[in-house]
Amino acid sequence: MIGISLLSIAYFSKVSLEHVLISQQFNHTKAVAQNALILEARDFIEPSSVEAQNQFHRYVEEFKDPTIHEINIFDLNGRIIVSSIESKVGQSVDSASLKVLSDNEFYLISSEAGRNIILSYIPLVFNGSVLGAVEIKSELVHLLDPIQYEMNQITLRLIFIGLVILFLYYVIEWQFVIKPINYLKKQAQNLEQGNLNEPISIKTSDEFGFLANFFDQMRAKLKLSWSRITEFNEELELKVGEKTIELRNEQAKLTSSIQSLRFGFIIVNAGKNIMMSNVAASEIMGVSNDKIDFDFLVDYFGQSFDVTDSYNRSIGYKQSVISPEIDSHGKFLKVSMLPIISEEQVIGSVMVIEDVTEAVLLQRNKEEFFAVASHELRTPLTSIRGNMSLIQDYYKDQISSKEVMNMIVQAYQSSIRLISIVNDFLDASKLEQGKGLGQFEKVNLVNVIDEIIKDLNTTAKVKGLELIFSSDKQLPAVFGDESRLKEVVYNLVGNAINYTQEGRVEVEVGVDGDYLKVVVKDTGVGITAQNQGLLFKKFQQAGKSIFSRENNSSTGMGLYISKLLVNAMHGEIGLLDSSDKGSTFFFTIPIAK
Amino acid sequence: MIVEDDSFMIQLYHNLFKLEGFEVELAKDGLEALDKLKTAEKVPDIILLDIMMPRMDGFEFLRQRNKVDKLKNIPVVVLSNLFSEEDQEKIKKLGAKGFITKSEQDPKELVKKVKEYLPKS
Repeated sequence: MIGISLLSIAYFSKVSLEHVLISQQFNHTKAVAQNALILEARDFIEPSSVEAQNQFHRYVEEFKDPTIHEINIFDLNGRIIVSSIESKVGQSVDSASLKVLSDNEFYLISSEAGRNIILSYIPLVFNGSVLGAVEIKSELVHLLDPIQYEMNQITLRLIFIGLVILFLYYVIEWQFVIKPINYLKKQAQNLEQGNLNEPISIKTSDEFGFLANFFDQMRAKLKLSWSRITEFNEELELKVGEKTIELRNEQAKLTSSIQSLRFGFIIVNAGKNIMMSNVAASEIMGVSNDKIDFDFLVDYFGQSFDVTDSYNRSIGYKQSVISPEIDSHGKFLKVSMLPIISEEQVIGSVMVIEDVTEAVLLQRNKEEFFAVASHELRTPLTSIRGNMSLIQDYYKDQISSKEVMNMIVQAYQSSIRLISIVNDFLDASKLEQGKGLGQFEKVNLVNVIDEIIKDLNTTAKVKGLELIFSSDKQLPAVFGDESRLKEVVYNLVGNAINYTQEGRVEVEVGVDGDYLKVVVKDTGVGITAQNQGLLFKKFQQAGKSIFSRENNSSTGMGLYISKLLVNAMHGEIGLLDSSDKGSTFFFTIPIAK
Repeated sequence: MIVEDDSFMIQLYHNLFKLEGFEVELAKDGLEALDKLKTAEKVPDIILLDIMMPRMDGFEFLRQRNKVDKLKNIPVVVLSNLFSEEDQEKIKKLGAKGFITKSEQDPKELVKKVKEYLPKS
């Protein structure tokens, strides 16, 4: 901006200067004409003599101004009387030159072979009348040189003035623009470096003052925001710290829990790397912890547990793979592979290795015990029972004492009860192991119940009880083990008779969905709410109740075994209702398809 | 003939069957029974056989009996307390007439059942 204005100033100055200088040049030539010619012209203007011609030449020689190329004096007709160039004498000047004769001096500027030529015309006046005129042709370049110098001088001055102005401008700009900008820049850097405490202020009412004020407002807001952020961050850090500690504590708890597990616990990530392996894992496998990697596990279990396949199933299909007891390196192990799912993504797999050697041996011992018990326990019991029976049957006459006979009867009954207990015990344990049931077949349940009812009718009659059996006609057959179904019916109906002192026992059978449902209702004393929970439990769990039964022949295992049997035949058994007016039991067995 | 290793049971059955008018021969195990039967001039009408016995058990006795012509037609009733399904199948295959669970029977009932297995003559 400044440069452009300076240049235009210089340009216009130069143009007006040129004009002035050309006028000066013209005046100079005018002076030359007047000094040198006018006075002499009076003598020879009228007669165009050789003398006058020579005199004019002498003057031109004397004069010898290099800038002047040509001087012509012409009369009122425009005919050249004398000239610095002899050949021109007698010729006519350009008609345009004639206007000088009306007493008007003037000049023309033209170009001639690349040179600037100034033609000056001055009228020659004698006694108040114009007689002729002088034409002077001079070169402007030549003439202009001093002008150029002048101009350069002026230009230099102008430039200097420009520089001064520029300097002043700069000083002003520095004071009023750059300084505040620098100040603001510095403050902006300050802000950028987080130094928000120094107020920003420029005490002017211009844009910078406004900007600084705006900056300061921004700084204040920033400071406020920053302090809030800092506060928030501190709070957050505190919370994160707390959470981190909590997390670490949880992790520590988890780690020590996992370490204290009695079964092997190995975490495999999605890249088949072992993330964790507890002490039990290395103890069970008999290898140091650092030796456990995925390939080791694959080798260790070999064909007994396909580690790769299980891992792929847990990772790929979110499946849990649980092995049966496997015989591995002289131990019985149970191995599971379970997916670890986080945010519905499988992030790894947990391998759980349980050493069930003891449990398996215990189970075997138990089975062995039952085998021994069933033989070794029952044999002497059978001997007692047989001998007591033998005495009663064949030697009754030889025993005169009634008390002794009673003792023998009691010993005989106790032996039978003991045998029943042993039998029930063995039966229950077999059923618990999923054994002890015969082939399932189509069974006519109505016939089975009929048979039992006939069997127990005598017992009921002895107690003065009514035993009623009602059923829908043409019921479908059920699917189960006939002899075992008999046991269940016998048990429920037998119990109903046992625990009922007067009234009746009703047995009903009907269709219930895909099942036949048998309902046994009695008018007995009922079962207390407390004891209802103990029904269908193994006699050990029923506590003292077994020993407080009036009926000595009961083993207390009947309902438990019945439940095992019904469940094994995919049915249900339970108590429908019980009050002091009686109890209602039921069981269901699937209809044969 | 009664083949039984438990002396109390032997005593019991001996008394019982004598009281019921049977002529009773006793053997403590399968091997003794087999020896006695092979050398006996008169074979028994029925054999009551225990299963779990030392030296030679009931199964082996049945197998051996089947190889001897004069013995293989004598009805055998197995008396035991241990009857798994497999055992019952095995006993049937080896040609026993029937099986009685010892502990479930009173002596009189046992005699009654044994009599049912006796050849009608």
